[in-house]
Amino acid sequence: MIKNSKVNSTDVAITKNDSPTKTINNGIELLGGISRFIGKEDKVFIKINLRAPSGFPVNVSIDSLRALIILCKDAGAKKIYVGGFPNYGVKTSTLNDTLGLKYYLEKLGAELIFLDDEELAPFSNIDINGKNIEYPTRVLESDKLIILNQVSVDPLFKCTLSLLNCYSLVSSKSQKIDKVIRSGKDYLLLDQFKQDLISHILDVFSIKKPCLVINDMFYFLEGAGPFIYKDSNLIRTSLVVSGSDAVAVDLITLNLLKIDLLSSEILLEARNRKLGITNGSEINLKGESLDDNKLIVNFSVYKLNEITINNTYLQTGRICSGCFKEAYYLLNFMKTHMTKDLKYIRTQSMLIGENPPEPDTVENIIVFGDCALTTTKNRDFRYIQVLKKDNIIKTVGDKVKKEKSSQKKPIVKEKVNKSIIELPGCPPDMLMSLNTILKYYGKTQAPNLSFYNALLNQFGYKESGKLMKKKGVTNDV
Amino acid sequence: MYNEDFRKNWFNILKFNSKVSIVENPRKLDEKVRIPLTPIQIDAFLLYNLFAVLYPRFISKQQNILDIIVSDFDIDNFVFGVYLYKTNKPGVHETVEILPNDLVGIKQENLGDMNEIFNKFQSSILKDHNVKVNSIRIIKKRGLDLINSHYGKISNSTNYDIFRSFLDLMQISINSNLIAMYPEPYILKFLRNNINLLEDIKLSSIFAFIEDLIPSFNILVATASNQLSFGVNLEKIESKTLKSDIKVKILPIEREDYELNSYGLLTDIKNAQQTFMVDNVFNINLNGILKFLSELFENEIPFDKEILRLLFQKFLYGIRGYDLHWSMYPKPKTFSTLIRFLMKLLGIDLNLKKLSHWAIPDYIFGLFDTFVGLNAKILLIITTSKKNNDINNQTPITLLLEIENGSLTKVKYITEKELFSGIDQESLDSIRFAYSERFGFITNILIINKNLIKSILNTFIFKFHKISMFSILKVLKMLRKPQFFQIYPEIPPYSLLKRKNSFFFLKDLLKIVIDKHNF
Ligand code: SF4
Repeated sequence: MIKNSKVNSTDVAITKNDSPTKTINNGIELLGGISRFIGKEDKVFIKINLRAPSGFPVNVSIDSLRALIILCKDAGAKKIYVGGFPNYGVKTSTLNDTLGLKYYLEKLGAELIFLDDEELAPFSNIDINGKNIEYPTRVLESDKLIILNQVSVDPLFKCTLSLLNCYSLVSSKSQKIDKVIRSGKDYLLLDQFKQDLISHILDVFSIKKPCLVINDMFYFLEGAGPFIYKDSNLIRTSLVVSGSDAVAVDLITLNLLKIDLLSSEILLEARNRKLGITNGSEINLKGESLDDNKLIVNFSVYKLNEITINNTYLQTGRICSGCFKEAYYLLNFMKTHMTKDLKYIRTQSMLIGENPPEPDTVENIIVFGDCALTTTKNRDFRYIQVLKKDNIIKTVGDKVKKEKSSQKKPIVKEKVNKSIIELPGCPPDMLMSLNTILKYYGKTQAPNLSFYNALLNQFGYKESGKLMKKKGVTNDV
Repeated sequence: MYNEDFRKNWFNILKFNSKVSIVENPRKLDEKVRIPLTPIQIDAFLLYNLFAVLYPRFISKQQNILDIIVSDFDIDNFVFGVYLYKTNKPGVHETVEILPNDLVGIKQENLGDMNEIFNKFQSSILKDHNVKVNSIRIIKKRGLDLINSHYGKISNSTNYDIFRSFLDLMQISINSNLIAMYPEPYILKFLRNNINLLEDIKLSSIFAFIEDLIPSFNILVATASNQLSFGVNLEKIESKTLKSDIKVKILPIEREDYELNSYGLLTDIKNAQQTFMVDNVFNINLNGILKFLSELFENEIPFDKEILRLLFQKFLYGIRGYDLHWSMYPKPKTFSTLIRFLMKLLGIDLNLKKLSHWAIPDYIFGLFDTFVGLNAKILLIITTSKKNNDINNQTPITLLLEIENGSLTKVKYITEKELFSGIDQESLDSIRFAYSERFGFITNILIINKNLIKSILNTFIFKFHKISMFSILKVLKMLRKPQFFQIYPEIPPYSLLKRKNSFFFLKDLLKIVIDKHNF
């Protein structure tokens, strides 16, 4: 583990002001000033949220970032790098095109690092807890690491903590959690996915600890997040939490949202691994009072069927956090961007998890995730009964013989139900899922999705759908 | 205290209004008055009806109004005049009674509590005159002076200048609290909150800007119902030598001359075009529009996102309700089944009666929120250069739009032209940086050429009757050209528009905005 700060402080500042810049500056001031964190000639890496080609608060607040860069410059930093891996394998260059950050940061005296460009930003292989992690050399070689984290609701961890922010110091590929079933352990019951995810997050975090962590909750995205959806709502809390211990800063952030340590699996695990301060009494709070500033916010849903979507019926079996998270994104996407499509589709069922109940109809069934796919292989809905059409010559012959058709029993034939959209993966990939769903419904039935897909294709997501057929499509990955 | 013209006209209105209830057919009185604060001559009975319908809907449903003129300063004799209007019908002012200035002792500090002032006056007048006042209007002396000076302009200015002066009067009166009403009508609150969104922007400048953009036209907006039938004739006259001007006439529509269909629309709209000698007639269902406006005014500004979505839906529902909520002459080509059928053969479905009012707002808001963000600062630069969008060429109009949680919260006029000096004006990057340093991070810069705005206005409003696949394609093609439109950084929907063939883009777009099942 690389320690990255001369500061070994239990101080956590809660600051409140009328602009993000002032609030961040006040916080650093309360912590003893920027020179306690950044020394002259330091190379500093500022890790920001750079999730998607989207606006605030999906990505960092640029005004907050500016304030931080200016502080680092004032402290005499030699180099200031800024970066982070976007989600879903989107390239930093794509984000740069939509956000126009490179020039802006250069003018401020910082450099946007394209972490996904291996030539410009090579990796180092780090072995930690039996795992080999590809970690950006640029971050390792920086004298100081700062986390500037935009806080929003999160479907798995209630809110996007700085520890989660650290996780996107590694690529989406490296973030992927492989399904490893331990003998005698029920993967789903124990939500092994989440446990592995937490362990992985903390592994990445522990490679290089930040010297300064800023949880920027001046604006907080509640309802649905951390991407922007129809149910999202941005509230102004005017609060920022900062400190040098990421775990302590996250704990205080959760406390402000009325969540205690015991309700946060990731902080409990951080406590077990002694990665930071988790005992509230050891934290030296500065600035605003914690008790006076507690917030009442709407967190994201705990159950998928709380996301009400027109004409869509969910059947959920046993699931783990992997499918929960991706289905949460997919459902919120549908609700936000597919209003018209959902009306045209008329009805669709989505089966998620192990052994989901039977769908209500035999039409438009989305089978989401490997668990749902394998446990519904031989289900009734996979087959449909159709009336067998008579041979025309035979029918005409019968008519000539004046046989009364009503006396004949209709012949029923069982056929494979092709109105099924299979979305494999553990969990399935959101963008590939959208592509598969579009292939199934087509442009006419899903004009909204078709247009959106064309937008996404500009970012280079196109390749996925080659193996898909019009009906009964499978997203083979 | 009042301008003589204003006073005379106002008394004429009162005199006429008081006659209406005693004559058998007030329509036959055939008197003309001027709409207060404007140069517009109007049939006095039409004005009576306008007051009778609009005042209770937008201002106050209650009878009896009290006007109180007060000083701008905290002086001993704070009240300069008290005028009681007893109204038989809410909003229809018939008589005015001058009450003593010291009827109720009020001071400047009392203005903060309108409820108390209202109660004091109400009980005092009830006691002394046995009239229950249900609404008070407090006008500061400066407000009255502004009205008087505005009146001075009416006789010797063009309509264009008078409208600008009227808008200035309204903005100053609302911004400086020169006029207050209790109970406060929604419309006043709505206007005040909207004006507060504007920073350093005058309504009169917006009017001048729009006036400059619109082509010459001569239209009639007609509405007819059993209660109120009238037409507003708007005409923009352009001349090569003089400055263009706008003519406004408000004319009664004789119900006997026109039949209404079951939706309250004129059956023979062509007749109206000929009678009023206009190019186009827009016939609007009055109840529908009044209902929409009432709902609009009741909302808080900035609009809640959900409310905005709903209002947008209602607006689109109104548009798609051709022959139901509105109609026009000449009839838009796109409503002809044959033309639509022919366009459909090309794969273009332009049936505006099937506008997806229920889905469009969701989709647009979803895309905007996603790609621009819930909080954003957009620098809007409107250029005038005909040849290209080079902002060096002439002084562009620069506005800063601030968006918070998806709602517009401020529109600021940027006067700091010095920001342009010393920066590389060819580079949008450098413009963005310079403005970001001054106003906070600029999310996007939007550069629009006036010619593009003109084209959009022509296509979708002034030449709506000619709207076709080709006119829309022309707008789309202009949007692709940097001399007419630029967004920096480019947002994905715009990149798509630039990359894709306009025809196919339009086809896909229409699938989103028009319902599937058509004929
Ligand atoms: S398929 Fe989904 S529910 Fe099953 S183990 Fe994988 S992520 Fe979990």
